[in-house]
Amino acid sequence: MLKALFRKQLLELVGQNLLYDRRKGTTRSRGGIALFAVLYVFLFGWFAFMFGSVSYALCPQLVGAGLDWLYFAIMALLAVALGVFGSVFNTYTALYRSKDNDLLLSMPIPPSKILFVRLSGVALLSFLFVALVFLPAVFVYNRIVGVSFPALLFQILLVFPLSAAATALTCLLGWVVALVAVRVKNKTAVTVVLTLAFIGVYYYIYGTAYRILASILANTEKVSRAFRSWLFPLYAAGQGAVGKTIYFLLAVLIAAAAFALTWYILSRTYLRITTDNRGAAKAVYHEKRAKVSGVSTALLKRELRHFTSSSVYMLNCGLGIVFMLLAPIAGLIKMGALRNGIGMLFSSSESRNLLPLILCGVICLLSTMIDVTAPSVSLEGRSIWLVQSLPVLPQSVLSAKLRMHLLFAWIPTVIDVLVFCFIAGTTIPQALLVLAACCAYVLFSAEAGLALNLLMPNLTWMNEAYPVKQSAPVAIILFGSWFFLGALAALYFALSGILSVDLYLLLVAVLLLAASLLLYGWLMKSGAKRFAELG
Amino acid sequence: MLKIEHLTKTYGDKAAVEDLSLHISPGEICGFIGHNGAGKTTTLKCVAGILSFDSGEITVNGNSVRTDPMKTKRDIAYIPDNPDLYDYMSGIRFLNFVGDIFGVPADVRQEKIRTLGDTFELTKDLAQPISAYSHGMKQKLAVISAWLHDPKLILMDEPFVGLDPKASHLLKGLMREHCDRGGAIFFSTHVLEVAEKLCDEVAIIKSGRLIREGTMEDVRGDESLEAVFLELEEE
Repeated sequence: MLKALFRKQLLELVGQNLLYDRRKGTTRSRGGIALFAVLYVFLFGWFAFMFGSVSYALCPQLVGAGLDWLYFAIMALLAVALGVFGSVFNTYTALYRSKDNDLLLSMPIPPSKILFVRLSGVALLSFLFVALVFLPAVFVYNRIVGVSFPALLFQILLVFPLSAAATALTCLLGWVVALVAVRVKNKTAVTVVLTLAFIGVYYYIYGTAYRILASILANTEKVSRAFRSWLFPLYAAGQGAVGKTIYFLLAVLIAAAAFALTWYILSRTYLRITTDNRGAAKAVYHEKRAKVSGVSTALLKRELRHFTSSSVYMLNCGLGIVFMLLAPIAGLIKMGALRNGIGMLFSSSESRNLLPLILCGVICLLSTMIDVTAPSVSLEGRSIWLVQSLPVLPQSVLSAKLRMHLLFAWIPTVIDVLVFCFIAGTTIPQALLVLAACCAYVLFSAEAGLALNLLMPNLTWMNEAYPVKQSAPVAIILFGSWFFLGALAALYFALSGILSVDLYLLLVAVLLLAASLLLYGWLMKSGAKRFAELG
Repeated sequence: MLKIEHLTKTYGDKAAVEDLSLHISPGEICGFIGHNGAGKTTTLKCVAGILSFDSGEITVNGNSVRTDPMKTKRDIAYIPDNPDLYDYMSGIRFLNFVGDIFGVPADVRQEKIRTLGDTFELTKDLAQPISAYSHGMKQKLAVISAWLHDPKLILMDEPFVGLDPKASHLLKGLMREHCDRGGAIFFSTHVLEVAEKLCDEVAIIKSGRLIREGTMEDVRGDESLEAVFLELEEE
């Protein structure tokens, strides 16, 4: 029974995109699967490189002080933190809000087993995130210190208990969200508020990470003592990683116990939470005069309603809106410090010239966190027949998706550009150039997300977390944007002898607008045709 | 009202519908009968403009589904066999969305929602999210939305599945009334007794091919529709 359930779960996680072409209704060719695999390897490689760099900064100093175990303990802490952060947003939905809940609960399967399989889906995601941090740390350590056995084996195997610990933590957080959500009317709002609070705490810690790291390096004795007494599981993991068998076994045991305890606690309430709808008081309809809208507004309203009714969609694709609106407020509060910092960093006239370019890059980078269009076609799901059977052009439907993205991304972009250009003291023409380049970039990324989703749709998901969080279009648009912006920066340095920053910004804006125009043409012709044939 | 001429639709190298021709006049209810996988849903989806087809022609009220899909869709309402509606909307928001798309004026819309909502005893539930609806409630909502813009042709795929006996009875009445006012209905069903009592015309499809078509009396003769259908299936 468990094997069949695991196979179903794996098919949901991996098969939907990797093995099956939903648009053609056929299995992907080997070439297609290989292409997808290469893409994911590339993305994971990039993440691994980033965390490898952190390891390189930390490893020599701690190893030099004879605190090899502390290096592994810190990296284990980072790995578990990323594992929790990476999967916590969809844990509640994945555990409790799957569309096949009724089907599975109606079968002779104990709810605890259904939960176990759901947990495995979360665990797989946690495993990926933990591995992305911890394996590069292992690689860096063995490069610097040299390979020794059984330490290397323990180091690699530690990924499993660390993933189990991350899964236990993320599931407990998801459980708390579920316990609250089941008692209130507006589940979406509660989920969003709780998750935003969690993100706030996370980013506070992230924001002070440098101070924390510096303090760790300056107070290794104290930190070691703290790990030993307050974070014993991580201490055990660190000692296990340097080859101490007993500590390795202890770390495995603690993680297994945490996972088992989580499963036990959650399985006691699983059926009740999944089927309970206490908070949902029955709303009674009172006739009101209908507000009549045109087709275009009705389609935009439909998109907005979908967005605001889904916590997964809002948190994963619209988090950038919050950041982009908070950033200028924080910038204005800390204006003095920011201006001092800018004055110090960009003291020469040469470096000061680069300021508009850097501002543009940072704002574009922030805007990549708004990827509303990337899962929007997949989110039509099984109800896609509706817009296909109504007298609306597929172009109008796609256009509504684009307009929603631009509505969410352009307004904060304009605010960010105006505030940060004011703080940085750029000239008005420079600010206008930054604004043009940023807005053109937002337009291009909105269209690119929509195009990618039309090329790689998934309409048969079991819960919205799959198209929103685990689909190729979202991954490509998110990480691809970083590469794209990196390439634009590199292009500036290649052309810096010929073009000034102002001219380069103008060139970028024009090129992005031209590309957007071409992409828009594709969306309205081939894209619309694809949309009409989906389902 | 509806003219299907030599319709062929294939999936890969498998023909789901092959050279199917069928005419439905205003005022007629046509029942579409066939075994599972015979091609009923595919045909209905082609007529609704959801599926493109390989060859043939479909016209609704003189307009081609292929060349003028928007015009034909304005004259059509389609209810699929499994009404997956927008779970993120309430019933009333969904009806208003459909009303907006078809440009139904506010007062007309309100009157229809009130009348049909009361008929199907759904009015008090219209403020609830569709995600909280049962299958039958979704089906009722789909029926109300289909009738909202006064379509000329209504296409329904297994419309009685999930409806309670009272709602089924009401729907049959609505269908008759719609056709008496000059509209037409083309619907698939496995409930042959309903088809026998309700339909003016009947079309029987087997493995993508239309094997019998005509008025109920012509097709049935002295036998029951069930006997004729089973006989044809055996052949």
